[in-house]
Amino acid sequence: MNPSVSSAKIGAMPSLDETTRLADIAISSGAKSIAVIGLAKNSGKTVTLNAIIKGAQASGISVGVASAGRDGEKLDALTGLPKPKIALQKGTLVATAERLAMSATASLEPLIKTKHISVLGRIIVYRVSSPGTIEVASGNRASIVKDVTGIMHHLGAELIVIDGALGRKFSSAPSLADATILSTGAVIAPTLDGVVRATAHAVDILTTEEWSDSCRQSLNPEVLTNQDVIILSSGATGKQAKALKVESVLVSATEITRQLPGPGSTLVLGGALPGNLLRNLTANRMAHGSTVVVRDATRILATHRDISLFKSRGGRIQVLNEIHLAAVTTNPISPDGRMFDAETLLDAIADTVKPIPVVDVIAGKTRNLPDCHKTTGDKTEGGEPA
Amino acid sequence: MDVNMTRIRPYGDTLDDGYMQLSFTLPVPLSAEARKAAEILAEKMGLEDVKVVYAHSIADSFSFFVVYGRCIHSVDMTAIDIPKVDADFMSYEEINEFIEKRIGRKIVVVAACTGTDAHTVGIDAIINMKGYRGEYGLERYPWFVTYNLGSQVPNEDLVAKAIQVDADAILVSQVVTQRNIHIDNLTHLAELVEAEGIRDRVLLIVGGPRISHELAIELGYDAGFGPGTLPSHVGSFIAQALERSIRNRAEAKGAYPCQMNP
Repeated sequence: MNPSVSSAKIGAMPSLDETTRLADIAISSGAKSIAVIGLAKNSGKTVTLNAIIKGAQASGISVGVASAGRDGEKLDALTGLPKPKIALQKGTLVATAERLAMSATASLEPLIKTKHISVLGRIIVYRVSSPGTIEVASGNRASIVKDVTGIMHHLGAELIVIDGALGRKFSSAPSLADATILSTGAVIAPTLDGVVRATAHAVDILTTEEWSDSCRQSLNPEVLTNQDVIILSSGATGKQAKALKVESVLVSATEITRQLPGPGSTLVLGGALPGNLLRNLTANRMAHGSTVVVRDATRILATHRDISLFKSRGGRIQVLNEIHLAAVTTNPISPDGRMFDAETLLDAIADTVKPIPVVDVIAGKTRNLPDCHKTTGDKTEGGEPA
Repeated sequence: MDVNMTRIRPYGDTLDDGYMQLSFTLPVPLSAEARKAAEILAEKMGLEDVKVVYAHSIADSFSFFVVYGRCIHSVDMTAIDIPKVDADFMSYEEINEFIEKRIGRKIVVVAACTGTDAHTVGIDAIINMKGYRGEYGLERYPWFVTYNLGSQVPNEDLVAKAIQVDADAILVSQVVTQRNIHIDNLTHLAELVEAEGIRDRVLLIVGGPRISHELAIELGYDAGFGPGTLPSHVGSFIAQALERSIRNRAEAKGAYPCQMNP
């Protein structure tokens, strides 16, 4: 417990070498938008966000910045501790609320007034005309975030970085972001083991594999509404599909389970996957060999306990659209003074989430990096492949 | 009294003397050393002229202290900008009239104490007929239809009910905030509402003694109500926010995005 260490680290600047690397990982995957989400508040989202912005700008990419929460504020709304600021270079696009723009140290040129009004005023898309810091809040729901990123793409941003809100994960949906970076850290749990376990669960859900059934092609996720449940089963007469309209899976889990011809069916859900459906399937011996398919991993809202029980009985969970988890970042410091050894945490997380790259932005250390990234920015060492 | 708003200090006996009182527990048996430790701690917190005015042993290895001292810090209140719930607070009659005239149908509200929380005193004060501090709860309002689901309601059940009754607003009460358990619970609720695709048609509102509007907004809620909230405050916000969102939805169908005027 050493508060002077943690406050010194909060203001620490990441080394440039690692910042380009983190941006490279994301950009090389072809992503035009990246969501930075965290497992909790103070897990290091803003530091990660700054690193990506800096790295992308260093490679001459025009950047747009949005936030699904409120970021770059001076003090934490929960702990009251100082937080890192969001620093933007000239030419960057940013979507934020009018009132926050007024207190920015960066000079901003308003480009487009959106239709969205937040408690902090109307959301406006600005271009930074002279560098400085800013607080970013672009709307706290998926529909607004989708809208403002669309506007910034239209205005010429090649890479949009979307900061997440606290532990909320909705901004990582493939409909909002092409790639996702997950921030985890000491704040998640009191022990290293706990942090690793919680991170592993989160990564497990985020990287839920894509449904590769032959029926996948004939199903257009765009037309799937939140009320749709499609049951696919193979009987004596071949494959059968049954489409149900429900108010919500939350309301109709029992009804849906009753409609199943037997274990081994596939259920495609248009809305969320809550724990009650998994519990129902497990309790009615329908889990074995069955697959529950959701739109994307942000729709999986069952607890870890419900999911593991369902899986242990032979059930599977898959998605229509996979989230591309580009990297995980680690932060060994918690605002309550807890601190892990940076490398120990990095190694432990890297080992668990293999082969996903893991970066400690402040320490400037990386793990699980594919070879092509190791040589980036340092051609003399890596050289050309033979 | 001539208060300097850029340098607010605690008021003890005279303006700006900075005197304040603290109470806390130390996990040590009461002794002269423990008293000194309490004094040093207060000094480290920015207090001068510290006096331990009360010390009491509260268990074998715990001591309770009250200390008095002069705070050396001051606060610039003019630099504080806190988002506040955006509503003109109206009376019972005004709210009903507003809903009748501007919305023209009853507003459906679903409320609960969620997760492990069993402290329904807050949500009951806002929702239940008898109300609180001389004000009727929303249940009594002819233009509100309310469902109070009670305590320890799983988020899944709350959202299910909201979908079943086509709710306009979800009210969630969180009193237990130890180790920030409410944050996880509120996050899960917001994610569930978003994943169910109903975020754009319900107002998501949270209340509780440790809830600030600022935190609520960051979590993706529409409003957060803290201590001292009356049913009419919540009622005013719901009525006005719903009216605004109905109007916005109608407007959004028009031209968009509109270019900024120079």
